[in-house]
Amino acid sequence: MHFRKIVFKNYRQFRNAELVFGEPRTHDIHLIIGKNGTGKTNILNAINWCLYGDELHLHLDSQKLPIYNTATEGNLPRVTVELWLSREDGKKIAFGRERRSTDEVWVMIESSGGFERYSSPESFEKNVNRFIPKEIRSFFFFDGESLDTYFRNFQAVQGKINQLARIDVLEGMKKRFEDLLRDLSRGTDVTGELKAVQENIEKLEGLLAEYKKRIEKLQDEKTQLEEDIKSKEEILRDQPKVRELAVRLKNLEEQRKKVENDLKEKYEKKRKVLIQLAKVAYLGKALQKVLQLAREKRQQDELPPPVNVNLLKEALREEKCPVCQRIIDPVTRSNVENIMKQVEHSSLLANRLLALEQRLYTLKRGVETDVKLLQDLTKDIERLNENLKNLKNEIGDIKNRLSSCDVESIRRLSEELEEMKKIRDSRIEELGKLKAYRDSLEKKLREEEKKYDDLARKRQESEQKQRMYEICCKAKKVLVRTKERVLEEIQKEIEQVTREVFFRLLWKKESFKDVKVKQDYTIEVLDRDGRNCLGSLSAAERELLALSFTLALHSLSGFQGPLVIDTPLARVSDEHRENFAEALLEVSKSKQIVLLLTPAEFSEEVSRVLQPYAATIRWLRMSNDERETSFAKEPWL
Amino acid sequence: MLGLKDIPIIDIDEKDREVYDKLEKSEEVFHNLDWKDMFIIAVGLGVHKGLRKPIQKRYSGGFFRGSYLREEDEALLATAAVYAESEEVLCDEKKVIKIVEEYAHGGIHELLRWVESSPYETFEKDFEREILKLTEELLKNDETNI
Repeated sequence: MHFRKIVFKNYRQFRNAELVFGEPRTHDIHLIIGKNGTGKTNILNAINWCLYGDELHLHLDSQKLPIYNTATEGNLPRVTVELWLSREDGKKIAFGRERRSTDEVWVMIESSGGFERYSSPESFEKNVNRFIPKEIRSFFFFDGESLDTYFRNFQAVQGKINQLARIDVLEGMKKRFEDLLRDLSRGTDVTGELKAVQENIEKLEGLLAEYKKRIEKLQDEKTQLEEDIKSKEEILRDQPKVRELAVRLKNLEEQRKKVENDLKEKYEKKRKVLIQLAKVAYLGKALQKVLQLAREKRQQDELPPPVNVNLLKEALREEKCPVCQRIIDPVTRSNVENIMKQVEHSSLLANRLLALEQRLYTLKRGVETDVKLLQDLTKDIERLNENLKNLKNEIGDIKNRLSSCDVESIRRLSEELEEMKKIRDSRIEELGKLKAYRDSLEKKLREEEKKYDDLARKRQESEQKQRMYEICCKAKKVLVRTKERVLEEIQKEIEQVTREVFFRLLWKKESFKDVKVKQDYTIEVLDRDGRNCLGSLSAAERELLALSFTLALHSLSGFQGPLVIDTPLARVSDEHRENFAEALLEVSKSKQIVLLLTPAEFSEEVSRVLQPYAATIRWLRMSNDERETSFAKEPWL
Repeated sequence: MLGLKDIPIIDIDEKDREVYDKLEKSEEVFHNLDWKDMFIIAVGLGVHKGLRKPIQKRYSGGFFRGSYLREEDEALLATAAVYAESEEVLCDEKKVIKIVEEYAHGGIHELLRWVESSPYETFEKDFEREILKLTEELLKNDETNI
């Protein structure tokens, strides 16, 4: 690919600039000349920023500045860099990056119908990788000074070569295989477990078959029993149910005994109540008379007794009146003693009559209660007698029924029937248990079968893994061998191209005999005597060797991108600059080269070599306020 | 309280003992009945029927002890005596006992006569019926008095 145009908008020094690359005639070389600080390196940075979003070669001064041009008005001006290129097939492709608050990228690809624009970051990255992948960009866009120190860090070079030759892809594949092998080696051997489950299944199947057989046998027995029961029930259908009748008879007899006992008890109670009532009832009139007498006495104030004999007794004992406390003289004492004799008799009578009255009232109240009790007892006795009568009737009936049939035969049949029913019930119970156990066995068997299927699948997977493991091992070996062969070939190719380019471009070919590239990519330049003279090469020779090596790497990578070198001649002494310029000119016959030169590098001698062939010569011109750079065709004087 | 419990022995006529035994054995209602209770029933029936007969010859062993009498028994016997004579007998326990012994003597023979003259298994029902009738009268009179 070749650069056709770079468009800058508000990018650092380049506020609104366009670098157009001229059409090459014989040599595809382009010269951009500018003093230090005018923005040469920022052209390299602009290319990196546009394609990869970073600025690898930013000077310390520029790092402090914003990316946008400081002369631009507005808080956040839009920064744009566009790279326009032409492909080998002549079609154009353009990459663009814009930054305002965030970065937006786009790629435009020319096709038969015009340009097509793709704005997704994925499309952009895909096309950038087709142009020059980020990992190897330092072999295409670099600072010329690095050519001088190119061979100081072979390890870094080796890493880059691996990326260039896609050895990293092989490494990645190898790592992937190793991961895969690790995963595959984790497979577990389930053969033992599978065998155990299979044995368990066989055992369960055996048990299940045995249970099914037992269930079938029990089922047959149950069916037979039911048929026998049915037949016996048929026989007994029209016969008295002797057993039930006997049981009923027994119950009735027990009830009868109880009722008789209850009756006896009630009769006894009733007898006692009746005797108690009889004792009072015959004396009813007498009782009424005594109560009447007591009432009359009370009305006549003879009850309770009008004289308190006790009070009189106290007066005589204490010899003073208990009421007025007057001392009782002998005359009074004699009078009191006479009164006492008279009243003692009437008082005893009244007191006894009073006591009798109270007891008679108590008796009468007792009569009321007893009458009620007697009535209740009579009712109870009637009810019990009725019950007893019914019971006796039923008992008699049952006895009659039992006496009219062949009790013994029916009882035997009934007992046989009961026995059969018991056996049948026990069979049903046993059947239930067996069926439950069978169901549980079936469930367990299903679980084991599922377990077996899972294990079988695991074993299959394991076997598959084993096969894959073996394949991966083989593939890894092939990969390692391939990598070794590729590395060997790369090393040979690099050595061959480096040697070829170096000797083609070298100005004193007789001084050196050969160039060797070792396996670790350390490089040796052998002098005429076959000694390694890398350390004694001039800066120009060293840079030429680095350039040859870089071009070899270009050839290796397959990416035919342009070469953009910042200050390529800075380290080259004056007497060799002309030689090195000629070498670059030679390279530009087959590859686009963009050289970012200082005026000192673009000396008269260099100018004499390069100018006649340069497709583009632009001078970086800085504005008076030093805030903007433009591309001029002529040097600024 | 009425002093009858203090009487040592209540007597019956010598001939009455046999009657009491007969009655105790002949009718369920009197089966295993205390002599005392049967004596009171005999007194009642005697009073009811006005059958007072003097004791010809006292039964030698005595019939039952006065101490067996409960208060309600005392009251019934005293009531019978007062009804037969007057309230004055309440002051004379021995008189009360003498009166009731004579009524018992009359009453127990009447009871036996009744039992023996009753058709089979009818006495008890008749007896109950009469007792209820008398009780009803007693309670009815009481209501009238109130």
